[in-house]
Parts: sequence; structure tokens; C-alpha cells
Amino acid sequence: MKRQHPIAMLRYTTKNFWLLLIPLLRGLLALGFDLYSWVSGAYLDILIIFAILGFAYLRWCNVYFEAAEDGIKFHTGIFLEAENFIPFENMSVVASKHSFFLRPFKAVIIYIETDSHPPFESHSAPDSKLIIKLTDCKEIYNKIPHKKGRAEYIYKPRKTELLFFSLVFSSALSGVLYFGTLLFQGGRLVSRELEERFITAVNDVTNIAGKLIGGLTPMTVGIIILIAAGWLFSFITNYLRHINFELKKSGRNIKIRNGFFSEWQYHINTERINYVDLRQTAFMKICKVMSVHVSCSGYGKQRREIPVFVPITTRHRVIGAMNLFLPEFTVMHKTVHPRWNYIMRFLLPPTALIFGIMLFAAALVLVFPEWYSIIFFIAVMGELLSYALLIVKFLAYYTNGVGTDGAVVNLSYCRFYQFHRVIIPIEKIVYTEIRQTIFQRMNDSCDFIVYTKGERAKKHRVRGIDLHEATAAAAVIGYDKFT
Amino acid sequence: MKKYYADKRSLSILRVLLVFILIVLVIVIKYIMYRLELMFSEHFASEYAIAELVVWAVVITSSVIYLLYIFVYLPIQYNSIQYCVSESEVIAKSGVFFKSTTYMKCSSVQYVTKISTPLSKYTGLNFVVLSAHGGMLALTFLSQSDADEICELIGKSIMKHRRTNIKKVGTEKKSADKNEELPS
Repeated sequence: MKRQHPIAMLRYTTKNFWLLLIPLLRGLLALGFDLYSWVSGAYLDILIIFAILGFAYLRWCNVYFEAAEDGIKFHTGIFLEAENFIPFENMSVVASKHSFFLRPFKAVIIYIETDSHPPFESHSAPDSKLIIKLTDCKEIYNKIPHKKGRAEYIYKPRKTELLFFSLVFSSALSGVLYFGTLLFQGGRLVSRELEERFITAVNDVTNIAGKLIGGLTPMTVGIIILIAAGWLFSFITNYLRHINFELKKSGRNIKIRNGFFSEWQYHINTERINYVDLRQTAFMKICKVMSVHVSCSGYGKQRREIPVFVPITTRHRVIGAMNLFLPEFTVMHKTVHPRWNYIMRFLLPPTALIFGIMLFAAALVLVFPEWYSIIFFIAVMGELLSYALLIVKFLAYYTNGVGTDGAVVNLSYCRFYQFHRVIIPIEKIVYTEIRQTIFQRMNDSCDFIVYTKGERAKKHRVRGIDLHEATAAAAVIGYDKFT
Repeated sequence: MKKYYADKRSLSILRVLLVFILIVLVIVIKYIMYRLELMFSEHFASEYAIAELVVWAVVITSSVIYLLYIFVYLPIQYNSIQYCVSESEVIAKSGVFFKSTTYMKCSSVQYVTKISTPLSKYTGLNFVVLSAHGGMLALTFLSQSDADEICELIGKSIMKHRRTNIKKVGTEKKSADKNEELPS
């Protein structure tokens, strides 16, 4: 049995360890390395630091693993000892992260994922996470079964495709949240003076921008800058995350590699892929490109990680890649389409949103007239998004549908601003549902809903489908109760 | 199919532990009352202060219920625990007022975790958790030998199911040219 890399001990220190250590070291610096004064003043903090390190060492000592021929055995815990054995066959993804700060120590973070989740932990936790030596990681990779000696197929996207992919899949919200967390945590570590200097700099930038963009209040300018900065941050992290993207297929194993500062490697068992999702936005439809994502327990689970298989490329290259890497996921024509009189199912919600925002903004202005400019700004942003949604839902009416050949189901649907074409093998379907609203009962239409396997069942909803055609499609995929 | 039952030694350990926790709690409450008496002596002037009486009444009632739980309910709960393990499925039965029976197919189990406490060989505090597709099943208060036996049996069953699936996949024909050109 082997232990983790010694640097893994830092993982077992508490979150407050650094909040204690950094001010302690700052104090030593301020005292000019006068050890006697430092120890006599901060002996309690020093004792706590040593206690944390001692406990971390104890935890590190009690975690070990062994890579056997057919699986990996783990042992963790000091008082409550937990032993488990995960067979390679049941691993859906074996991922490793070569962080830039771990590279000098030749250490790697390895994640083992199955279709389950660890006992008494959340679904987002990996089944096993270890920081191990690079040599041990290579040993584990060599033991993963169903790989052939050489890669059968290799796919590498172009740099421009990766840039376009980062552009489309960046989110201002996730960038703002991450930025905000970074500032909050950073503020706790740095001195008050530095924090005040940063806030002054932000105020100066906001004032300058406010003068340049005339007619807007400083708060509005601040919000614009925040959203833009959040989006830019998300764009840069996405691009750096997916740079050097490469797909290799060997037997039933697909290896995905990406990352710039931290290199990620994923070994995916193709049998564990639940479905393939061909995604487009309206802009991508105009440019005639699409992105391929896969659903596999453990891939795309990390924060800010996108489960991408083919980043962004033309339809022709997507089909080519699917034929080579995932031939069992068949793309087919739709046999079930929405009828002309089902269009209101698509257009009514965004239309209601357009009028709703207008009325709500008008009511708010009546109640809070001093907030007119900010309410007007948010209402205009909301209206723009609602009109965009109306256009997207209009396109969705033409693209929605269901196709099946008895072995695989193709579902085309639209969720918010994204178009999905989901390819699901029949055996990966948990259950199927046909749902009708009161209005849908009047015109014999329905929503066709399929739930797929995964750590949590995923819902795929195709709206505005003819009831009889939906029933027939469900019968083809094995749900005879609908006929 | 083999049946397993909860190890009664763990019941004794639990009883001792829970009574110890009760004694500690009573001592803590007594200490808190003593400190309150010092801080608010005017409210504790009479020999039988109402607040103190109420607190001790609640403590005594809770203790009686707690002791009934330890010495009456817990043994019945222990007797109701039964696990049936075979190569194809695991059935867990338990419950005093609300009986529950859980079935889990071994084919859906992804891996097995055995959790042991210190001196589990003598205390009988061993737990086996089956992590399955979308959920888990915990088998509690097993002896060490039973826990080892269950882990081995289910482990073999998992490997057997995977080998069967591999053979099935190997005999299926896969067409590499089925994908059609996507419509516009």
C-alpha cells in the first residue's frame, strides 16, 4: 500500500490555517525577526499552527491506496477507518490535474469517479480524490483496462475554434461570483491599507468611465464594469482551461487533455457515457457551428468545468468526430415535429415576460421615483434579453422534435438560449413521461420528457409535440404502457 | 442467500456510551444552574425556585424517555435488523413501528465501503455502505467477520456482473458509418 505525496498534508489543514499563518509571519517581519518577542507574544497562535500541522500529518499517515490489477483499494480515516475497493470497470472517469504549483514537487491530483457518490457526502464530491506522485499516477493509468497500445484516433481543434468556444461559453455571472469570492477572501488576508488602496483605485476607474460614458449614474457604470470584468475573467479562464485540447481514442477508452497552467487529463470509459449533447446558440446557428458535450459521471463536475467533447466546429467535422470516437451515438432525422398550431406554446412565455417586465418597472418607478435611472437601465436590459428569448423560442419551434430507431433516441429541444440535440442510447433512459397542460389537452399536444441516467437523473423536455406521435415514439423505445 | 443480523455487542457499547452522555449532560446542566444561581441570586432566593423546578422536571422527564429509548426501544430495533445477501441482490429489513424493506441489485452497486471503529473486532461497530447508481444502502452494526464476508461476496458479485457485461458488449455489432448528415 502506498501513501499520498507528502504535500497532500497541506490539504488536511483547515481553511483558517492560512488566515493564522500569514498574519503570524507578517508579525515576525514587523518585529525584524526578533524571535523571542515574537514567540512570547504569539505563542498561542504558534501552538495552534503546530497542532493543525500535527493533525494534518496524522490524517496523511492514515490515507493509503493500492493499484491492483482490477481496481484500486483505498484506506482512509483515523478513528473511523473506511476501506473500499473500486473496480476499474466501474470507474466512469479517471481524471488528473497537474497544477503548476505542484509540478516542481512532481505531484498530481487524481480524481476517481463512478456513477455513484461517496457515502455521506454530496453528489458533487468525487468518489476519491488523492494527491499522489507522478509515477504512481502513471502506474494507475497503465492499469486502466480496454486501452490499446497506440491511440486509434486523435482530434485537435484549431486555436480559433477554441477562442470562439471560450467567447460563446463564458458566463458573466460565474466570473462575477468568482471575482467577488476572490476579493472577499483576499481582503481577509491583505492589510487594511492595501484593501483601501484597491477600493480607491476602483472608485477612480468608475468615475473616469462615468465621465467617458455620459448620462449614466456611477452605480450603473459600476454595474456595467462589474459585468464586463466578470465576463472577461470567465473568458480568459475558459480559454486557458481548454487551450491544448486534445482527444485520443484507444479501445473503449477516450483520453481528453486540456489546460495551460494546470494540465487536466481525463480517461473516460465510453460505456459510461449517458448521452451526447450537440449544443448551439442562435449565433452559432447563424455561423453553422456547434459544440459537442458528453454526460459522464465525473466529467464536467468541477466548478467552472464544461463537459466538452468537441469544443466548437462545423457540422461536417462534428459528424466526422462522432463517427470516429462515438459511433454508437447515432445522429438521425427527426420523425416527430411540432405542428403549426402549437406555436403559442413557444411564444407565450417570452411574450408574457416582455409585458411583465414593462409593467413591473412602471410600478417600481411609481413607488421609488428617485431610483428611476437604475430601474430604467435594468428594465431595458431585461427587455433586450426577453426579445432575444422570443427570437430563440421562435427558432426552437422549427428545430424541436424527436427521432428514434429503437436503439437510440434523438431529442431536439431548446432550454433558455441554447439549442440541444441530445443523443441517448435506450439503455441509458431511466424513464419517460408525457405531460399535458390544460391548453395542450385542447389541441392534442404534449411535452415529451425523458430522464437519463447519471449521478442524478437529468431531464430532457421536448415541448409542443403531437400526443399520438409522442405516444408512438415512446412505444418504439419500449414504453408500451403509452399505447 | 445468507442472513446477517446486528451484533449485540455493539448494543452494549451503545448503551454504555449513551448513559455516559446522559450523565455528562446532567452534570453540565447542574453546573449551568449553579452559575445562574450565582448571577441571578434574587430569582433563586427561595428553597424551591420555580425556574429550577421547571428545569429539573424537564431534565427528569427527558432522562426517563432517554433511558426507555436505550433499554427498551434500542434492543427491539436491534432485533428487527436483518440483512439477506446473495450474489444477485441485497435485502435490508429494519424498523420497530415503521418497518422498511430495501432491495438493491448487486448489478447496480458501483463499490463497497467498509467502515470500522477502534476495536471494532470486539465492539461489533462495523458498517458496510453499498454505493450504487443514484443512491446508497448502509448495513449497520455488523460484526467484523460478517462485514468482511459481505464485502467479499458483493465484491465478487460486482466483478462477475462487469465480466458478463463485457462479454455482451463484445458480441454486439457496431456500425461505424450510421451517422447521417445533420439537417440545416
